[in-house]
Amino acid sequence: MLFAKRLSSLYQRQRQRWIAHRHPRVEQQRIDKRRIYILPTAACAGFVALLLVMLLLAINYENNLIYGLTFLLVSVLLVSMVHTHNNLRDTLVSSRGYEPVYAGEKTRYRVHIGAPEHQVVGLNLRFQGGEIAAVTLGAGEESTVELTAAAGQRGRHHPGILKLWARYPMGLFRAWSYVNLSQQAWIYPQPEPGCELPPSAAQSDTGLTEVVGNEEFSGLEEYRPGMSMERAAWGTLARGLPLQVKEFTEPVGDSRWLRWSFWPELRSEERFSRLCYWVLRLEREGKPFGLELPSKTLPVASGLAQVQAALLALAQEGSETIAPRGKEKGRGDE
Amino acid sequence: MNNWLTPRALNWQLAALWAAVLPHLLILPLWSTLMLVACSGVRIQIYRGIWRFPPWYVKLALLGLLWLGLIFSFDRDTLMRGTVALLIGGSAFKLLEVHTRRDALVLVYLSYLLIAIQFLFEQGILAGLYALVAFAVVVGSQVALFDPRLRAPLPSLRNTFKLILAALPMMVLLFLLIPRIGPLWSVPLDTGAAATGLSDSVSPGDISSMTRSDELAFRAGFDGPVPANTDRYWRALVYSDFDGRSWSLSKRLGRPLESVTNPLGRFSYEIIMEPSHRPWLPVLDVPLSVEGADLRGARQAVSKSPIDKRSSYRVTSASRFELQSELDARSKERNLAFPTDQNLQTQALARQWWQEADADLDLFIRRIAAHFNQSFVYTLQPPLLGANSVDQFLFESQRGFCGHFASATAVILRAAGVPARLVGGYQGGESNAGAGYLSVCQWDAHAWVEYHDAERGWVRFDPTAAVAPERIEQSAEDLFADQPGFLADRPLSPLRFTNSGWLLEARRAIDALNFSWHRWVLNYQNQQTDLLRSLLGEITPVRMALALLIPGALIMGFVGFNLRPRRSKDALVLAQQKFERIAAGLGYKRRPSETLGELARRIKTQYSDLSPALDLLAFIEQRMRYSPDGVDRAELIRALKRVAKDLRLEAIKVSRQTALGGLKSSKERDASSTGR
Repeated sequence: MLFAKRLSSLYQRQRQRWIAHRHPRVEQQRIDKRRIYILPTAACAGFVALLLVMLLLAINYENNLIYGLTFLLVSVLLVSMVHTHNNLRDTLVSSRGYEPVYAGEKTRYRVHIGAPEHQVVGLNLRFQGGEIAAVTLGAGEESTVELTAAAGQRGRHHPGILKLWARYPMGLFRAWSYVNLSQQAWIYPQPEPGCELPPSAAQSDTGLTEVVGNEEFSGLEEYRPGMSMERAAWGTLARGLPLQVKEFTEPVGDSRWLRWSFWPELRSEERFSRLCYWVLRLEREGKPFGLELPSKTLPVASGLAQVQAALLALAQEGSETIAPRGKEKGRGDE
Repeated sequence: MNNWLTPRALNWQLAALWAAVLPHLLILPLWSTLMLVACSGVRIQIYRGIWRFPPWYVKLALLGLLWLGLIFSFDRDTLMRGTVALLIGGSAFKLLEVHTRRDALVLVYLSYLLIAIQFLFEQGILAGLYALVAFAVVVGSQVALFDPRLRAPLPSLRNTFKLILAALPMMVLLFLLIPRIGPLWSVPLDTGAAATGLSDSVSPGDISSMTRSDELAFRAGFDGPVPANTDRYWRALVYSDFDGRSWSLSKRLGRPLESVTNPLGRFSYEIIMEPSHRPWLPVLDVPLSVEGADLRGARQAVSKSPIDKRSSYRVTSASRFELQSELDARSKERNLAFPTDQNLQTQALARQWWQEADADLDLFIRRIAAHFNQSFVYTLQPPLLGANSVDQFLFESQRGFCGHFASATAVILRAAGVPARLVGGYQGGESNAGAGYLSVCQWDAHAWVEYHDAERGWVRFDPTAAVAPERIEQSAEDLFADQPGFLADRPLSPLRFTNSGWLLEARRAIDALNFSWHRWVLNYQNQQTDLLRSLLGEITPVRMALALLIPGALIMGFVGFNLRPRRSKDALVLAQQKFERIAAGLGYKRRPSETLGELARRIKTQYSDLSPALDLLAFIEQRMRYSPDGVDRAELIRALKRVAKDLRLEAIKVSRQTALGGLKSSKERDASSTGR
C-alpha cells in the first residue's frame, strides 16, 4: 500500500519533471503542432462499441447501407481527430500578471489567450492545484482569463505548468498541451492581528504638509500606463487633448512609521504578518504611514498606491527583487 | 469545464432524436409516437423551467406502460419492430433524465443506431438520402454538446459540414475495399405482408378474381442483349402432381437434376430478387448454372434459405436446348397420372383429338391451340368452377386466365398419354432501353405447360398465347390496363397515370437509377470481387492492405491539409496585420510580448505628428483588452485603419526624401525627428 503510494508519487514527480523539461519557461507560447498531445476519450470507447454493434448488424443482415453508415462513422471519427487537433493549434498563450493574494489563499493569475488564425472552441485551462477555466474564442478574438493556482508562501510564487485542453468538435478525442509561462506572483504575508504599535511609531511632524491622496482635487497630470482609469479626465480627452488623469491630494494627519525592528521577539514570518495587518489597519483608518524594512524604506504617504507599495515590499523582502526574466508584472501593470 | 447542457445543445438533441426516429414512427404503432411527443413536451417544459424532472416512480410507471405496449403490439414475427419500439421508448425516457453531457451522448449514439436500423426496413435511394440528412443532424447535435456557446455561430455549423464532407471520401474508400463476410449467425427479420405471386399449388377453379399488383418481383441485368419478349419465360416452379382440381409441387425436390443436352445461345445475367419470403428463384429457360442457389429437379433454382431481403444471383441460361430427352419410367408415370374418375368429358375429347391427329404430337398441340383460339376469353375475373373444374372450363365457362388454360392443356395432354406438367413463373418484364435490364412485376406472373417429346425432351407450350397472343407479345401492363382486376389493390398507383409520354420516360429513368442503386450499393458484395480484380489484378492481402492504406493516407493527408487553419478573414485581424506590416516597414516590428498599444507608443516617440491617432489606438486597445464583452472592436478597427493610413503617408514621405536627398536628407530627417 505504502509502496504503491510512494511509487505513484515518484511517478507524478518524474512526470512533472519531464513536462517541465520539455516545456521551458516562456513569456508567450504559440501552441504549434509539436506541442499538442491527443488521445481518445471515454466517449470514444462508447462510439467504438456503437460501431461494432452497427458492423454486426451490417454483417448479419448483409446490409450494405448499414455498412456504409458504419464506414461513414469511422471516417467521421478519423476526421474529428484532425479537427480536435486543429482546434487547439495556433492558440496564443501569454501571461498577463496576477491578482495579489495573501499567503494561504489560492493564487490568481491572469492568462491571455488569443485565437489569431481560427476559432478555438471549448478550451479549458488549469494550473496544477487550481480550478478549471473555460474559454471560447472566435477567429481573431482574444481574451484574458483569471486562473487560480495552488496557494503559496509569502514571497515569490510560480504557478507551475499551465495545461490547456479541448474536446471540440465531437468529444471523441481530447487534445491537450502544456505551457510553462515565466509568470510569477508576489504573495503578501498573511495579515495577523495583534501587537500594539510602540508609541515611538507615532510621528507628529515630518515636515511634509500634504501627500498624494484621494480627498481634494489638485490638478491634471498626463496619463501614464498603469494609472487608474477611474481618475481619467474624459472631458479633456473629448476636447482632443491627450488623455489626462485628475490629481488629488490629502492633508497630513498623524502619520506613523511601521518598522521591522518593532517586535524582536517574533519570528520573521510572524513579523511580516503583523506588519501586513498594521498596513491594512492604518489604511482603513485613513492614516498615512511609512514602512521601514531591512532592505527597503517607504516614506510616509497614504492612499491605495502606498498600501500596494507597502504590501509588495513586505512580499519581496528577503528575496531577490529582480525577476529572472522580463519586467515585473502585477496589479501595477494596468 | 462545464458538463451541463446548454439550451442550444438540448434543442439539437431533440431535433436529432426526431430526425432519426421519424421513419420508424411511420411504421410503428401510434402509441410510440404519442410517447415520444409526450416526453419531448415534458423535456421542453423542464427546459423552460416550468416543470421539474419527474421523480423515480413516474419513470417506473412509464417503463411499465412501455412494457405493456410492447407485449400487446408485437409478437415473435415482429421482433425487430418490437426492438425498435423498445429503443425509441428508451430514448424517449432518456430525454426525461438528460442532465449532463454523458447522458446526452447516450441519446446521440442511440440516434445513430436508429438510423442504421431503419435500413433493415427500407433501402431505397430516398431512404438513403434521408438517412444522410438525419445523420448530419445527429452529428450536429453531437458537436453542439461540445460547443459551450449559447448561440450557434456560422463557423460552428460550417465545421460540422466540413467534418461530414471530409469524411465522405474515406467512407467511399472503406465501402469499396472492406471485404464483406457472410452472416455470423442467422437473424430473424419481420416477414411483413403475405407473399404474393408464386405459391406451391395452383388451383385455377378456386379463384374468382385475380388482382395483380405492380409490386416489383425482381430485376435482371444482362451482360449481352436483352432477350425478346417471346423468349422471356422465367421458370420458377414445376407442378407435376395433379389431384383433379389443383396442381402441386412435386413432394421430392431431391430428384436428380434433369439433364440439358446441346445447349445453344448461352447468355448470362444477374437477378436481383425482391424479398419473396420463399426460396424459389425465377430464371430464364433453361438455366445451366446459378451462383448462390441450387438447381434441383426439373431445373428449378432454389435459394438456400427463403429470400427475406433483396438478394442477387448470377445465372447462365441457354436459349435453345434439349431438356431430359430420355424420360425414365417413374417420371413418365408421374407426369401421366391424373384422377381418371373426374373430368370425363375432357378425357374423351383428348382421346378423340389424339386419334384425329393420328398420334402426331405437333398436330395434336396445334389442335388444342386452335380450340382455345375459337371461343375462349382471357379474363382476370373468371367464374368459380365446380367439381369437374376442367370439364366446366372447357365446355361451359370458357373464361379464364393463364392457370386455367395451362391446367386444362396439361390434363388433355396427360389424358392422351403425353407426359405433361405445369410450370409457374413469370413471363415478360419491362425492358429499360439502354440500361440492359428487365424489371419484372408481380402482374407478370404466368403459368404454362411443358410436354415431353421423345426427340426434343421437355417442350414448352403456352396455351395462353393461343387465346391471347398479345399477352405474350405485349407487356402485361399494356394488356391488362383496362381489365377490372388490374391494379385493383392499388387505386392510386402511379402506373395508372404514367402510361405515356415524358412521364413514362421519367419513370424509366427513375427505374434505371434504382437498378444501379440496387446493383452497386445494395448488392455491392456481388460486384466487389470483379471490381477489385479489375482494379488490383490478383487479390492478395498485401494488395488489399496497400489499396486501403495508400489512398487512405492520401485522403487523411488532404483532409489534414485542407482543414489546416487558414488566415482568418476577420476584419480586426486584417486591420491589425496591415498596421503591423506598415509599422514593420518603418522599422517598428512588433515584438512578441508587445501589445498593440505598446507598439503605438513606441512609434509615437518618433512620429509625434501622429500622436493623437496613436494615443487613441493605444487607449482603445487597452480598454478593449480589459473589457470582456469586446464592445470596442469596431472602434479599434477604425483606429487601426486610421493609424495605418497615416503611417503609410509617412512612409511615402520618407521614401521621397530618401530618393531626393539620399544620405544627406536622411541625416536631416534624423535631426528633425530628434528635434521634435
